[in-house]
Amino acid sequence: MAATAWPYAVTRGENSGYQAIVVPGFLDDAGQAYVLEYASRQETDEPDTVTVRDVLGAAAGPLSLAYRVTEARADRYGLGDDTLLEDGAGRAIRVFEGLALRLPADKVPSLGLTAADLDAVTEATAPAFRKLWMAGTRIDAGPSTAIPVGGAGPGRRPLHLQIAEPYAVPGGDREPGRTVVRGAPRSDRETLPGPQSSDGRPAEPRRPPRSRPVTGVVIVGLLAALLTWYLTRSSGPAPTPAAVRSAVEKTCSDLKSGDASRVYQEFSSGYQHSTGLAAFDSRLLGSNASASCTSTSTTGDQAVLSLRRADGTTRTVDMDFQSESGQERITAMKVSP
Amino acid sequence: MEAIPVIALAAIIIFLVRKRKKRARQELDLSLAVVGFEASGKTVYIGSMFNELRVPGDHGVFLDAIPEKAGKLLSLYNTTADTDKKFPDSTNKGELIEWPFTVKVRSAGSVITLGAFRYLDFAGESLRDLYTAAPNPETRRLYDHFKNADILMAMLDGLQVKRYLENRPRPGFQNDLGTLLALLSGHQKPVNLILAKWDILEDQYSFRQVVERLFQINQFAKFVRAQAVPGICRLIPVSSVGPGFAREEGNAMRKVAGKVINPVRVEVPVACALPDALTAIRQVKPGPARASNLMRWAGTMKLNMGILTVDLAALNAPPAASYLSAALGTPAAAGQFIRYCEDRLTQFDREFPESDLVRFMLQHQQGL
Repeated sequence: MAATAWPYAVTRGENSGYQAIVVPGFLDDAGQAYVLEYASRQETDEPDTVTVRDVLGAAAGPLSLAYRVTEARADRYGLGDDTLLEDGAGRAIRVFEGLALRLPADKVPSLGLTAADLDAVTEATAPAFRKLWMAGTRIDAGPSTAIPVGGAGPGRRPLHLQIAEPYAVPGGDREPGRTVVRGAPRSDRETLPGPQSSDGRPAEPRRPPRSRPVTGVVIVGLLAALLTWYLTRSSGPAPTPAAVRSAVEKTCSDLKSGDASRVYQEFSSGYQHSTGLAAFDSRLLGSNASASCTSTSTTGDQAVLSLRRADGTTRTVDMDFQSESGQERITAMKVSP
Repeated sequence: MEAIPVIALAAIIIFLVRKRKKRARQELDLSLAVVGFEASGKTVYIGSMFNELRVPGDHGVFLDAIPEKAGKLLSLYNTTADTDKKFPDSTNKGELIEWPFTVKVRSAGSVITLGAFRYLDFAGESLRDLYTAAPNPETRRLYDHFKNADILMAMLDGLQVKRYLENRPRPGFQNDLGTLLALLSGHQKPVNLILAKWDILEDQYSFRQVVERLFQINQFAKFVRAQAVPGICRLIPVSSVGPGFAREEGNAMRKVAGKVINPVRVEVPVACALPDALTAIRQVKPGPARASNLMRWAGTMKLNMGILTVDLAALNAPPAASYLSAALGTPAAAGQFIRYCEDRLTQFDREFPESDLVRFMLQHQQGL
């Protein structure tokens, strides 16, 4: 299957920082050329692997990028012999060169992209690279025009593609991160788009207003109830905030690597007793093998994870933690929607 | 009915005891932002700093990270240390990463987790985007991160400072410096400047010469004057690779084959961070919730805010022996940590008296 795509490149000069040097016109027109700079991350050291990533929330959606990362050599850009180009700190110059495609990432593998398609990108972006290198400072990005790509036929070796987790445009309607409305029973909680802190975690919800002063009788009654609660509640120590954060990071790491059984081991014995591994796996990952945390937030002994499964669907996961045998264990989990 | 007052009293006592125990476990959570332009050395620094602090010294203080992050940090350090390899790749805008660290204190009988801090590594060129006509949402998010940080530091590229001292500054050097200082000026927070790549400066310039030349830049002098209110602004010379490990060759830095990495003072910026934050929040009006959290934490830990030393009575032991104490509560561990910071600061101040820029400026004005 053939399609059209727009070449782009993000790189840096000897003394100037990373910037997009060739940008599809439709992204530039929408003021979103910057998404190329932020969505192009090196995911692998394998030189022949092409990373494919969805860009969620782009004005010109659907949008995905298919790019490779190369170390710039002078001869590749008509700048001399085959010397590896370096910046002022003696580091290799990485070039993120690829194609912007107006279709979802999961459709890209069926296009049959070949090395020739990305070589065409090099050809289209080389003049801009030369200009950047000679200027010694930031340059204005040049526009790219659509080229036909894909349709690998016999004798044309398809590229090795790696689907990476999506990039969400900040403020876009697909950006992860939702605030849990507290105060309602856990089963009745709903999620609403909410403000985010600077690191992408949902901001703390406001506390409900305080109740009016109560009478002495009510105070005494409450104190008696408090005493009963203290005497009867479990004496297990509350987990520390750092321990909860650490446990959340481990959970996210295990989810990303697709090791659901390790995640399951992070749950309390009570939870494991009531919920089997298969049910747990299905509840958390659906039919997917892995998922990645797009944002996390912890408050006391609770954590909220925004999860993006491998198929692109998102879930909000509420977890309660408690110390068990000296380790932080997840005692309850609610996955919504 | 006679039992009700007794029950009420017992409930209050139990409540207070549990609350006190909970506060004694309270941990500090700080965000630390190091701003600096591309190639200033932020990425190499974080690898060297973690490697230096991951093993406790005689104070028992050390840093920990989750295995995945620790592995990446050590990989960064190993790439830096290997003279057959180039320096680690520059960070591009999409590769922004927050490194979470846990500060721990070790005694003979236990290891106490004292708190956590996060270090943001990002593409330095994003700073220039902050001051373009139309900052994009990613840039605004980055700015918010800086704004919400508890402690701000700026990293000055020693190579660019050297070129300025040699009267051949890189085009845009003063503009970039102005951008950094403007970014730091919008906060009532302690601000320290890390002078990276000190190894390539120290052979040719004394630290005093560097400080004096920097004061000749009007914006720099104005900035330090403005820091008189928080009372703190340090310039901390560090070398993430150590003397002789790299040299200038043309316009680039090159590793010297066969040299062994030996980072110098990479722990000082971190050691300065908490005492300086505590000092600064005493000087400014109560503001953001973060600052009051810090105050509350310091209060819980019984830190003596006036002279920035720990309440030694709480330790029940002289400084040298505290490391060998059988068990440490969190307040005692906090004291041990503060003492570690103070010792490093005292030693640093002795070696580089001009590093306290506010004090240096005042002495200079008085002709001392």
